[in-house]
This record gives sequence, structure tokens and C-alpha cells, in this order.
Amino acid sequence: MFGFEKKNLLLIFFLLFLSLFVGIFALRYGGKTIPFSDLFDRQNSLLVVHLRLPRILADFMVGAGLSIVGLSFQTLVRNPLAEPYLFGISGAAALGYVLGSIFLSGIYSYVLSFLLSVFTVFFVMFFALRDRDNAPSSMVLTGVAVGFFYSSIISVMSIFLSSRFVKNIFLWYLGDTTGLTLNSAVFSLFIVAFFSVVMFFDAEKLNIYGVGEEFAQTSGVNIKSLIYRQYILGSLITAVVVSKCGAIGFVGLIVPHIVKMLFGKDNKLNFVLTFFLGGIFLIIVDTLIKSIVYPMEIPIGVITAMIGSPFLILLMRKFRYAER
Amino acid sequence: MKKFIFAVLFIIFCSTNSYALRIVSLSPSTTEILFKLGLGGDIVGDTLFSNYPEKAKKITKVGSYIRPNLEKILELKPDYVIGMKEGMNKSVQNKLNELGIKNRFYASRNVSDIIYMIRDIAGIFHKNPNAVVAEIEKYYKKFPPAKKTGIFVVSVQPLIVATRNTFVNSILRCAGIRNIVKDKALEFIIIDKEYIIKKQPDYIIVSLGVKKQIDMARSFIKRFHLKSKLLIVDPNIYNRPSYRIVNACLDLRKRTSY
Repeated sequence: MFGFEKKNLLLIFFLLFLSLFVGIFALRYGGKTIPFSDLFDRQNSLLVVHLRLPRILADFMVGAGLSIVGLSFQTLVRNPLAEPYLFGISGAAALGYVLGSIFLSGIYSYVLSFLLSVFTVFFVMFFALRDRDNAPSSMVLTGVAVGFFYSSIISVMSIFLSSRFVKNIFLWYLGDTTGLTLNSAVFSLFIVAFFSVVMFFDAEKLNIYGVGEEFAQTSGVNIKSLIYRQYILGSLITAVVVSKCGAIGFVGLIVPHIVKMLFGKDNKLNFVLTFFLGGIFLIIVDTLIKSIVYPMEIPIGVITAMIGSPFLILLMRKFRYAER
Repeated sequence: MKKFIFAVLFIIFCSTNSYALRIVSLSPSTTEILFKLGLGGDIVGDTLFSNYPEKAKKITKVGSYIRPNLEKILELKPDYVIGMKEGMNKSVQNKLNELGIKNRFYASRNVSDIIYMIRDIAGIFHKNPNAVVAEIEKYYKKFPPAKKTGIFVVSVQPLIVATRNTFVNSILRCAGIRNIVKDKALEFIIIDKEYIIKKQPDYIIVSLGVKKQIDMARSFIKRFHLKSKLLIVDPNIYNRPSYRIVNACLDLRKRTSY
């Protein structure tokens, strides 16, 4: 199926079931531990279906989406430091959120942050790729510049706005998966999964691109359209995640590296693995932390870096990992 | 006769039971107000910094007030959740609506916001707010002429001060002090220290519990030979939008030459 070896196919199915299992298992934990038999009991339905389930779905969406985008971008710009926010999307989404919560209300701040992110994607692409076939470095630099521009606007605004907004922006940057309703969690997970599948279809071309641009060209890969496609799809995923849950950092950077360390460099396999492992990683981390510090809440963005960084360093020592 | 007695007992039981509300209060100021309105016994959950009155400290905590834990709130089965428009209130509010928990979040820009909040909370729980409101209005309806100038500092480094667009400004005016920070669009702003040196207000009111910052304010006044008098006040009373702004006013009047 999809040209996978039998061994890898088994691995993928294993991860699929593992995700489902971890998701259902995580439903048990939080404030009070609910036994499996009572999980779908009527008296727990509000707690399980409307509080824990949306949060777990959102965790999975964020982890899976950002990881797969990180993997794609790292290959695309040939830089191990590449991450989903590389092209200034987090700044754009933050500004959209802030503007939305000042001038509009409720759901529109999410819509505005999504729209501004998408606009930024096309803006960066238009300026960086003009007259050129392929320019990863100019894309990165344009993205970084745009990102700094947005964050400077936000900084200026936070000085002139009330302390309430400053607090909101700060909390938004730390990321939050608790605010999604069940409907929006299911919907955004579906969108992220759909775009991820579309990105996956380019995996083989990315493998060829990874070897070298000339090699890719002689192999008949249309580099420009490959870059466009991956970049736009990846940015759409990031925009969905960021507009819903804030700029949760570090997942998109480390999960791809961990997968590459453990399973080699075949993008085709890695796309699937990062998707599931990223999702599982975030569900486990979030569930663990929310159960430990209950009834306090620590933003998930803080925890991912706190747990992820040492893990990455340890793995790097163990595997003597060096990318290109 | 027996039936009648049972019926009466039943009605009494029902009516007392229907008023046994379960309230979760997400911010220190709403907790204070609920206690003042005689609803303290109905609060089943509040947040970390709810420390007044003393009893509020013992109530089950549902997290910090900028990021309460929804699961804990749901566990407490509240009839009403009350909080301030601060922190993540929008997403918390959306979630509470989804869970079918009634909720109310209040702004606290000025004294009329505070009075509105008190009246509204009293209205929800069928209490009489008039005594509390009258007490506030006694001091905050008409202000004495301002004879002195002052500045209200909530952070020394960076220097963050209250503008005229805050309820804190009303506390100053209640004690006959004119705020030298004229801005009206914003609430709390960062200003240049030179402005204080230039204006030399009669009072520098520092509302902070951090010793290091208070020492910084002291050495600042000393170094630039300011004539201003330093007043250190309790942030738990001065910075909270609740009925205790009356206490703040009286405290400030006592400590200045009002």
C-alpha cells in the first residue's frame, strides 16, 4: 500500500492504533481519574465529551500538524533549524488575534488571525520568489523579516493597550489547547489531517529534492511547483493550528528530528511517523502535566520546550546525529 | 392537618434549597463582593489570590485567575461562574457556555463599572445592593476640590502608573489628589521617570508588595531630592475593583493632609 514495505506498513498501523489508544487512555486522566467502564457514562459525559475530548483532539492536531510541517520545511530549506513558524506566520496570527479581539469579537479574532496568516504566506512567497526559480534562503529571510515586523507592531500595541490585552497576548503566545469547543476541535483536526495527506503525496519528490536540486531537475521533478505546494499547504496547517491554539513552540522543531534519528531519512515513512508521533507526544505531555499540577494550568507551550529540549539533546548524544 | 404540615415543610425545604446556590468566583474582587452581599457561604470555588475576607482563603481553588482550570470548575458543579474581563476570559467564557454553565464577566475601568458589577451580582442572586452602593456613592459621587497632586505607581521598574481612565484615579480624587498622569485613553501606562522629576507631585503613592521595588522608589526620591512624599499602600485594597475602594479612600485621606 502506497509503496511501503510490509515492515513499515505494520509500524504505521501500530502507530495509528497507538494514537487511538493513547487518546482514549488520556480521557481517563485529569482532575479525577475515571475508570474505563465509566468513561462513557452519562454523568461523566459533560466532562469527558466537552472538556477532555476537545482538548485531546486539539493536542493531537497541534502535535501532528506542526511536526509534519516542520519535517517538510526542514527538507525544503535544507536547514535543521527550520520550523513551522519560519515564515512569520506566528507573528501574523498573533497580530490577527490581537486586532480581532480589539475591533471584533468572539470567533472573528480566530478568523482574522487565520486570514492574516494566509495573507502573509502569499506575501512572503510573492516577494521572495519573484523572478527566481528557487530561493529557500531569500524565502527564509523575507519570512524572518516579516515576522519581526509583526512582532514589533504587537510590542508597540502592547505598550499602548490596556494591561488586559497585554496579558491576553502573552498567554496567547504560550499556547493553549483548552479553549476549543468540540465542534471546532473535530473540524480543525479534520482540516489538518486532510492537508497532511495532501502533503504526504509529495514525499517521494521531497526525497529526490533532498539529494540535490540538479538531481531533482534531471529526474523530472518540477521544483518550483513542489516548493509552492509544500509551502502553501504547510502554512495553511500552521495557520489553522496557530489561530486556534496560539504559537505552541518547539514541537515542530524537535519531533521531526527525533523521528529522523530513530527511523532514518526516508521522507515518505517519516511523514506518517511524525504525524502520529507528534500527536501522541503532545497528548501525553499535556495529559501528564494537567494531571500533575491540577487544579493549576501550565500553558502547553512552556512544557513542550521544557521536556523536549533535554530529550533532543540526549538523543543527539546517543545517536551522534548530524544532519547534512 | 398532617398533610398540611407536610406541605408547609415541603415548601420551606424547597425554597431554602433553591437558594442554596453554588458559585465559582474567578477573581479576588468578585469574591469580596460576593462575601459583602452575604453570599460567601455559597462560593464553592475561587482562585489563588482570593485572600479577602479571611474565609476566602479556605475555599477550594480552581487555579489562577488568569487561567482557571475548567475541569475543576465543572467538578464543583456551579450554578454560576463569575469573573473579571481579564486574562483568557473569552475562551473560558466560550467553554463555560458549551458546558451549559451560566457565567458573567465584568469590566472594571471606573467606579460606575464597579457599581454596575455589584448591582448585577446582587440582581442575579436576589440580594439587596443598596447599602453597599450607597456607601460607595457617599464617597465617589462628588469629589472634593483637588488641593494636592499625586501619582499612583503599580510598578517601579519599569515605571507603570495609573492614568485618569482608571478607578484608581477616583480613589485619588476622593482624597482630594489630582493625578499628574493626564492620559485618558489608556489605563496603566509606562512613563518616563523624568516626568516625575519635572512635575514633583506632592505624593508618590506606591501600591506594591515587593520590598525591592519599594526600596528603588525610596532611593529614586532621595537621589533626585524630590519634595514628594512617598506613600506605600496595600495593593490588595487599592488595586482591586471592589467595594473596598471606600476603605482605600478613607485610608488615603487619613494619610494625606486631607
